[in-house]
Amino acid sequence: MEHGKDIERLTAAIEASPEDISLYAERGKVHFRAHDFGSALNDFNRVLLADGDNEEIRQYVKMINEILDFRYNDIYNP
Amino acid sequence: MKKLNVALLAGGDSSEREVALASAGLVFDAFDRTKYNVFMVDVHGRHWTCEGAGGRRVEVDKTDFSIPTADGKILFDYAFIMIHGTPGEDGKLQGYLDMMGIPYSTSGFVSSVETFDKALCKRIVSEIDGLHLAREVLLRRGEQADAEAITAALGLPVFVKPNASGSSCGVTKVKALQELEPAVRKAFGEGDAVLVEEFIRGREFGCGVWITADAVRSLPVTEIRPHKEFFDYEAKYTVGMSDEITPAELPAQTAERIQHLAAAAARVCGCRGIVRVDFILTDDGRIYMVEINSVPGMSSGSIVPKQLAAAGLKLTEVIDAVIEDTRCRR
Repeated sequence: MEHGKDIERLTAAIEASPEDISLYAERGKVHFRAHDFGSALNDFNRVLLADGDNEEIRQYVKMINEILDFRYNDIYNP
Repeated sequence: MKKLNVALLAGGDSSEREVALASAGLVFDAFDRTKYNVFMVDVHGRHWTCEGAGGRRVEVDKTDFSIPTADGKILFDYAFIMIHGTPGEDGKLQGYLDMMGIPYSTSGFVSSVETFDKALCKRIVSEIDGLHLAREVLLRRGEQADAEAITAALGLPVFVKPNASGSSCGVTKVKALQELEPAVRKAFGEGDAVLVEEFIRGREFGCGVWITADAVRSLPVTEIRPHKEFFDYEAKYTVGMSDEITPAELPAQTAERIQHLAAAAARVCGCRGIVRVDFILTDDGRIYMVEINSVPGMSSGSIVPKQLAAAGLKLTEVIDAVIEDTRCRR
């Protein structure tokens, strides 16, 4: 599966270069496309820790939170 | 056979809300009631409401995509998305519905995200042979617009538009250097990224495309002749502000080229259901793609219903076929 291969490749690259933030951004986008929003958020938040002004990644995070809000909001705030 | 409970998702949160409600009205009336129980759901922020028993508005329970009834609940089996702009056209509803396992009528999550982002969509279609794209500068929030550098690169006039929006809201045709900065500010009022594009002079066309798992079918082409300088929100949605000619008065070969490019763009973007692709045809015969609308207008004044009629297709049958195709998406 293409998604799994891309994640494996990017995870290996991150292990080799853990300070390269662009790799987290790229892996987050792969997770996002596969609807793995939790993993995507973890990667995107890692990017924002290092580069809080990254507007593109902030948009991804905002979108994921809006999607998750649709589903989960009612559970916590009945 | 058991009737399918269909949530017709309408309204939305963008400046196109009123248009989306008008579109949903026409679609609501066109469902085959022998096959579907149709519930018009007004999606407005976190409040999704639907008319329940006795005309009372009830809130959709988004944890299981249902509405309460006097003796239990109605679970929706299918979502027919008729929301232009956010959250129906930008992937948010698709992301939610995918998580819920509810099939829906539009392009999938990734395709919706990608086609709604105009700059990204242009990159995806850029390899299509014979398709031209306006040169552009993309600005993200926080970035300063260097008016001199932009106009040096793109010339004047330029179009300034939100990178992710529809209905031409926030769009300005900039003819002078000093107009650029306020135009960029206006476009940022609609979204977090702004696209500045060179002006392409020519005739405007829209072409609907119907995509199923097995086939891509282009509808007849429509020419849009706005009475204003360009096809802005008012020209699009005010009766008499534009002439829309279906089928367009074009040589057959040119119409076929537009249809071919519309189908190619929809295919390469992974679209599904019915989309509309907009183009500009220049005097020297080049065809520029403007954008893909993954949830095109479906009100009585909209282009796609006229194209369906020109193709001899009935809206009721098309809705039925779209649902059949997307119920078990592959």
